[in-house]
Amino acid sequence: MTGRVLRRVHMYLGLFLCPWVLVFALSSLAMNHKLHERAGYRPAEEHAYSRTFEPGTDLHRIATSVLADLDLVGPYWIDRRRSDARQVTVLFDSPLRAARITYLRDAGRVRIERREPRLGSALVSLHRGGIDSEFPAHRLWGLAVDALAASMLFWVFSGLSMWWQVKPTWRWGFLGLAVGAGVFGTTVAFL
Amino acid sequence: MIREPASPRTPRVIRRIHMYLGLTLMPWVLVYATSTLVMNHRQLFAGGIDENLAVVTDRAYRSELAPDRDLHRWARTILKDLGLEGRHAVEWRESDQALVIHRQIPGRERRITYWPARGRLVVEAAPFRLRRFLTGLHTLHGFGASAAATAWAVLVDAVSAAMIAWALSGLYLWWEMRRTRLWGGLTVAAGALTCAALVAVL
Repeated sequence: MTGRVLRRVHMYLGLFLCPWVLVFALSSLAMNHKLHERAGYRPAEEHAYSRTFEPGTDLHRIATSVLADLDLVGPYWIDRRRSDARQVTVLFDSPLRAARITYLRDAGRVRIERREPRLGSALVSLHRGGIDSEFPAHRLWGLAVDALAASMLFWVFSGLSMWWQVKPTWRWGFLGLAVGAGVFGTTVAFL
Repeated sequence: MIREPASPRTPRVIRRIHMYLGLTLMPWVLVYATSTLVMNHRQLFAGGIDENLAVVTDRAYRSELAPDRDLHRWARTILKDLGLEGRHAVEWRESDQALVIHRQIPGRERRITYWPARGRLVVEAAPFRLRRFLTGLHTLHGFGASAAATAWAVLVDAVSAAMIAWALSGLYLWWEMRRTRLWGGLTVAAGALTCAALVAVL
């Protein structure tokens, strides 16, 4: 009975979380091969921007205000190499709406360059947690990521239990465990 | 002990692949799962590398920045001289005119600070922390920084491919069990819709 319940929980968890498993596996491949770095930006569009900021205003305060005015809510980075007294450049990260936003202080304009739609970049933008995020959608995503991580631990232990119940597979199973642990330990030791 | 139900050859082979892949790659699954929990709860597991660094080496050293002013190449030269080649980050610290190299060895990070004007080099080591070991392994990816890093990158590819294989073989094995198709189908649909809805608002 216990074994059957374990198998069912193992399976139904896998079926529900299957999209996240695929997202994180494919995004790992994309990151490992730097596929996300190939995406450039589409030609810029510029708009007048009337909000002004006092000299010396914190860059993050400027960034959050500009992004909020553009209806872009989510994580971002300030591109300090492209930011100075005359402009602030913000990289807004999102799987589908990523963009580089430049606020041109003197001209009172914002320049919006949307990231080219590429699968690798979108996947890498999804390869994130977010349970501590200030953004509700990211907290929900973080919750799913917690569920995935906890399920991975469950899959390991339920998988071990299910393997142990099939005696003919013990020999090859032990060999697999030993090879895996050996390769892991050796590689980590030399990193 | 349970006996395996008699089953056609294909599902049995798929089940075996699903299981043996899991047994072999178990260390990586454990590392990625635990480090994901740590990284997802940054406020709970706070703490940077700067805590409790211990000086390992403090000595005279000379190395010149090449005319192309490539900090990364300079850092690689210094790391090679120290026998510490591998994945690293580098920055130029204006405040005291120092080159700072963060050698990213999971759980055994080193900070190398070189003041070229003074000809002084200091290597500091961080104490082992399980949290940093796990997150260090999690974020380690990409080919070419060193032979070991490339071997790890090959393994990252293997684990990623295995995750895809587990998902697809799991779907196949579920589909072979006719009695679970209804509830399984509903579960797959619920997962896919939830994931798609979240992706749309992120």
